[in-house]
Amino acid sequence: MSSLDELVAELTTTGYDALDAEKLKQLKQECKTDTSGQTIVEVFTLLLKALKKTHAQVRISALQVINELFSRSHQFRLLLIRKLPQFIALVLGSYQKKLPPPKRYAEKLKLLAAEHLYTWVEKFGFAYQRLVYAYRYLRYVEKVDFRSAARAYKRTDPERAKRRHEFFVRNRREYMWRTLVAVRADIMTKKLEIERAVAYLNNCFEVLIPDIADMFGVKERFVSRKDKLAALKAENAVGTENSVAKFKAENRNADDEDDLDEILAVMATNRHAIQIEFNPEKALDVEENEDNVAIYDTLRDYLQICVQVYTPLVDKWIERLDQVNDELEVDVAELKSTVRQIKGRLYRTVAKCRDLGIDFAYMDSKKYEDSGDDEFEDVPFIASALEDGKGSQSKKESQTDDRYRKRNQIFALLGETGLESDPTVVDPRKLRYRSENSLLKKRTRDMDSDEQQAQSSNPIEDKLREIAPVVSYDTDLMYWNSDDINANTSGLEIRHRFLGSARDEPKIPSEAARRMRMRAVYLKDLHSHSHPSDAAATDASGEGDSQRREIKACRAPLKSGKLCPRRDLVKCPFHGVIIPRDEFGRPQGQTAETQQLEQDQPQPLETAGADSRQSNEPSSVATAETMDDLRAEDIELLIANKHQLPAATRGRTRRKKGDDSNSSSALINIRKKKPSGISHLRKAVRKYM
Amino acid sequence: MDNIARSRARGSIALSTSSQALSTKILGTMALAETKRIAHVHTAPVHSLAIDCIQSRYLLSAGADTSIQLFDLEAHKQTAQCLRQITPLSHVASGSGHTRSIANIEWYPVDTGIFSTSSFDNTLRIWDTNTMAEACQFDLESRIHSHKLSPTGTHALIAAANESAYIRLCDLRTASSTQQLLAHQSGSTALAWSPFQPYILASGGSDGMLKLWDIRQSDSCVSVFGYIPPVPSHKSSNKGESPNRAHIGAVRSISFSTISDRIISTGSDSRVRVWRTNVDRLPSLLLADFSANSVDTEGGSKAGHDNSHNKSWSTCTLEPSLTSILDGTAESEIMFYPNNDKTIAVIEVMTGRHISTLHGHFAPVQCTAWRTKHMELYSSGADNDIFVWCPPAAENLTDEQIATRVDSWSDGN
Repeated sequence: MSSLDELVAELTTTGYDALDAEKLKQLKQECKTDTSGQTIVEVFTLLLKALKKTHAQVRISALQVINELFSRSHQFRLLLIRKLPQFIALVLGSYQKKLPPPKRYAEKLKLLAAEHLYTWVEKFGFAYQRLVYAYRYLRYVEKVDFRSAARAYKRTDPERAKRRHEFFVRNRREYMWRTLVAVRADIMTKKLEIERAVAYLNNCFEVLIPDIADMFGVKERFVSRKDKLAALKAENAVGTENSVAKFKAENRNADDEDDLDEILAVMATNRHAIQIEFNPEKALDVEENEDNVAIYDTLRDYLQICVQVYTPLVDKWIERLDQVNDELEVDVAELKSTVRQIKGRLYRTVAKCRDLGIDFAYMDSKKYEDSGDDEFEDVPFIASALEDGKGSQSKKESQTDDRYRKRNQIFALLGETGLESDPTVVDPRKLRYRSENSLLKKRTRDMDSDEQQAQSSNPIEDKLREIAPVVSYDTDLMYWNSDDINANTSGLEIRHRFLGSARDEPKIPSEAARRMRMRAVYLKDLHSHSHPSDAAATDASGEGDSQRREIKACRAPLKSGKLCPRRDLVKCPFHGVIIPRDEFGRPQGQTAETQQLEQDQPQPLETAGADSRQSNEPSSVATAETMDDLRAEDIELLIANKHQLPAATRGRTRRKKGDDSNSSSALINIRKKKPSGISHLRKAVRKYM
Repeated sequence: MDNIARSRARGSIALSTSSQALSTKILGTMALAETKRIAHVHTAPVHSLAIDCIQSRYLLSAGADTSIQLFDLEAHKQTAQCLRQITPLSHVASGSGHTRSIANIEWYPVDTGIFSTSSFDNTLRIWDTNTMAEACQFDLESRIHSHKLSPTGTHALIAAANESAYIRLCDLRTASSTQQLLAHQSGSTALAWSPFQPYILASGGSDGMLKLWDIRQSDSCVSVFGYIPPVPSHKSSNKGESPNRAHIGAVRSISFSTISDRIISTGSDSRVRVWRTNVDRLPSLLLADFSANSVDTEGGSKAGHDNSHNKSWSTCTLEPSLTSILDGTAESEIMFYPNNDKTIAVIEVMTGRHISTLHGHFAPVQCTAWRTKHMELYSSGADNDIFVWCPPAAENLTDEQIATRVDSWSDGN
C-alpha cells in the first residue's frame, strides 16, 4: 500500500505538464493486475486526496491521472461518478470555493477539467447518465464554457465526432423528410385556393383596365411577356386616348382588326405625327366610382387574403423547403419551383394592385378572419417599408406626399396641397421634426445667452463664479440630472426561490436617489489660509482653535518596524510623553548620543535584532518600502563582507534546505510570501546570530 | 434477496412480510435511470412536480422561470446520449402566465383535463390541459406557498396556504373563495387533505404549528399536534419548543399516510415526525420522530452546507413523496425526502430507517414525484433539471451501453 501511496505522490507532485510515463504505466499495471478491485479504490482515495491539496499544479497532475484511469476502468468511473459534485468543485471551483494558487495554473486546471469532462460525456455519457446531468448542470446553471473543450474534442477524436455527425445527419434526414411530407400536403390543399384567388384578381384587372393587346387581338404575341408589358399597355391606352381621341372616336364602332391595321398603316406612312404623352402621376386611368365599386370590393377582399394569408404561407413553405435537400426525394426540386412560381404570381398580382392605387391601409382596420390559420402573423408590407426607409427627411416627405396623392381614394385630405397653409391642421409627420428643431434652437440660444452674460461683466456674478467650488467629477455629478436610476444593472440574479425572480424594474427610490446626488465637502480653514500671520500668532499664544491644530503622532518605533501612528495631545498611553522624533522614531534629543554609540561600534549587527534595525541607518531614503529594501541589501552586504561568503552560494544552500523533499519538482512554492525588507532582514539576522 | 425467497419457500415468513421485504430491498437499490431522461427545458429552479393519479402518465413541472411543462412519460425519442429522451408534450411559455415564480402545481385529482398552479404573484390559476390556457384565476392578495385539492374528488375545493393568517378555500365550481380558516398568525406553509375523509385538512405554519381541520365549520380546528421533548432540558425552553409546536422553525411538508390514519410532517429542523390522527384513543399523538439527515453524505463540508441552506430555504415547501409498499395489511411506507445536501433520502416512515441515499443532484433538491406502479421517481430542484430514478433491475442496458462500461486496459499501454 505504501508503494501505491508513493507512486501517486510522485506522479502528482512533479509539477510538470506531462505525467511521468514510466510511473503512470506502473500505476496502471498495479490497477490492472488486482482483480479484486481493492487497488482501484485505494488509488481513487489517494487521487482524491491529492486533488484536495491547495496547489493548482498538484491538482492538474491528479486530474491527468484520473483521466487516464477514468477512460480505462469501469469501477473507477463508478467511483468518480459517485463523487462527482466534490470532484467538480475541486477542479472547476465553485461558488464558495475558489481554485488554489498559482493563478496561472488554476486557469489551466479549469480549461483542462472542462476538456476532460466534455470528452467523458461524449465517450461515456451514453452509459453513465449522471455525466450528462453534470454536463447540463455545468453548462446551463454554472455557465461553464465548454466551447473550446468541444473544439479540442473534435480534433482529438475525429472518429467518434464523425459518428456523432452521422447521427445528426440521420436525425436531420428524418426531420427533412417529415418537413417535406407536411409541406407537400399543405401545398396540395392550398395551391388551388391561391390560384383561384390570383385568377379572381386578374379577372378584376381585366375588367377595370381594358387590355389593349386583347382589344387588338394580338394577345398571343404578348402572352409570354404580358406581365412585363402591363404598364406599357396601360400607357398605350392612355396615350391613344389622349392624343388620338378624335381618331378613336371616329373608329369606335369599327372592327378591332381594322383598328390595328389602320393604326399600323398610319404609323407606316408616317404622315401624321403621333404624340404620346405619359403622365407618371396617373399611370392608370381608372378611378373608383359607383359603377365599379363592386369590382373594387372583390379586389380588396382577395387582395387581403393574398397579402395576409397566402404570402406568409408561401414564405413559410419556401423557408421550410429550403431546409430540405434536393436529393432527398425526386419531387423536391419540382415542388420548390412550383412554390416559387406561386410566390412570383402572388407578388406580381399584389404589385398590380398597388399600381392600381389601392390603399393597403384598410387591411389594418379589418383583419382577415381565417379560422384555421391563427399561427400566421401579419407581416408589414415590405415595399412600403422600403419606401419609408430610404431618403432623408425632406426627400421622404415629398415622396410620401406623392404617394398619398396617388392613392387619394380614402384619405383624401392627406394629399391636399392647401393643407400646409391651413393653421388649423397639424401634420403629425412634421411634429417630431419641429420639436427637435426647437430643442436645438433653444440650446443654441442658451449657449448664446451664456456667452453674453460672460461678456457683460456683472461684478457680483463674476465674484460668485470665482468662489464657486471646482469639484472633481464624482457619483453625485453622475446622477445629477437622472431621476430614474437602475438598481441592479449587472444582470446577475441570485438563485433564490423567493428573491431571485423579481420581474419589477429595479429602480432606486427617489429619496435614495436624492441622497446619491449629495456630496460631503470638508471645509478648509479659510481664515488661517488667508491670514497666515494671524494663525501663527494664535498658535504661538496657545489659545484659539486648538481643535484645528494638527496633533502630532507619537512616532515611537514599533516592533513591526513602523512608527506609532497614535495621535495624542500630551501623552501616548503606550510610549509615554510625546517628544519630537526623527524619521526612524528616535527621540530627537538623543541623536547625538546614538551617533556616538554608532561610532563606538562599527559592526552594529552584533547587537540585538531590534537594535540593529534601529541603528543601521541608510541615508536619503524617502518612502518606507525603498527604505526597507535598501536596508536589507546593506545588511546583506555587511554580512557578506564579514563572513567572506559570496551571496549566491548562500542563496542556493538555503533553497536546498527548504525543498529537499522533492528535488526535481517544478512546483511553485505558493507558501512563499513576497520578500519584504523586514522579514528578509530578520531571517538574515537570525541566521547569523 | 435470495435469502428472502428461500425463507418464503421454507414457509418461515409470511407472504406479506416477504414481499414487503423484497419491495424495500428493491427500492433500496434505486439509482439514476440509465435509459431514460427528461429533456432540459427549465431555465430556473424547478419548485414543483406533479404526476397525474389516473394513468400515472403525465408529468407537470413548474418553477421559478414561470413556465409550465407537460411531459408524456410514455412518449420518448432517441438522442445521441440517451436511449429515451422525454420532450415536453406542450407548455405554457415563460412569462405568459404567472408573473412570479410558481410555488406549486397540482393535477385535478379526477380528470387530467385540469390542473392548477399557485405562485408568488399572489394568484392561484386553473388551467385547461388540452389548450394549455388559463381557465380562471383567484387573487389571494398574498404570496401563496402551497395549494392542495382533495384527492377524494367529492368536492372541488382548493385549499391555499399563503402568507396571511388565513387559509383560503377556493371553489372550482363557482370560481370564488368560499371560506377562510384562521390558521397560523405568521402564515401557513404546508397543506394536506385526508385521502379518505373529504373534509379533513391538515395545515402547517411557518411558526412550526401543525393543525387538523374539519372544514364543515369555520372555527373548526380539530386538534393541534405538539412535540414534547422526551427529556425536557433547560436548553429547549428558549429554543421555542413549546408543547403546541410540531417543529422548530417552519413546517415544510405534510403528508397523509395512505394506509393508515397518520400524518407525516417534515420541518425546517430536518426532523420527520409521524402523528396519530385519531385523537380520542391515545394521549400521545407522536408516533415516530427521527432526523431526515442521512449519515452518508457526498461532500465533505456537510455541516456548513446544512446550516446555510436551512436558513435560506426555511420557508419553502418541500415536496417529499410517499409510497406505500404492498397492500394495506403491511404497515410500511417509504418516503423520498429531499435533503439539503443535494441528496434524496429513502426512509422507511414508521421506523425512521434510512434505506438508502440517492446521489445524483448537483444542487439542492426541492421536489419529488413518485410514479406509482412504474417504480419511477422524478425529482428536481435548483439544478433546473428533472432527474429520473428507478431500480437498475427494471432497466435493460443496450449492447452499446454495456460495451461502453467494459474496462479497456489494453490500449495505450
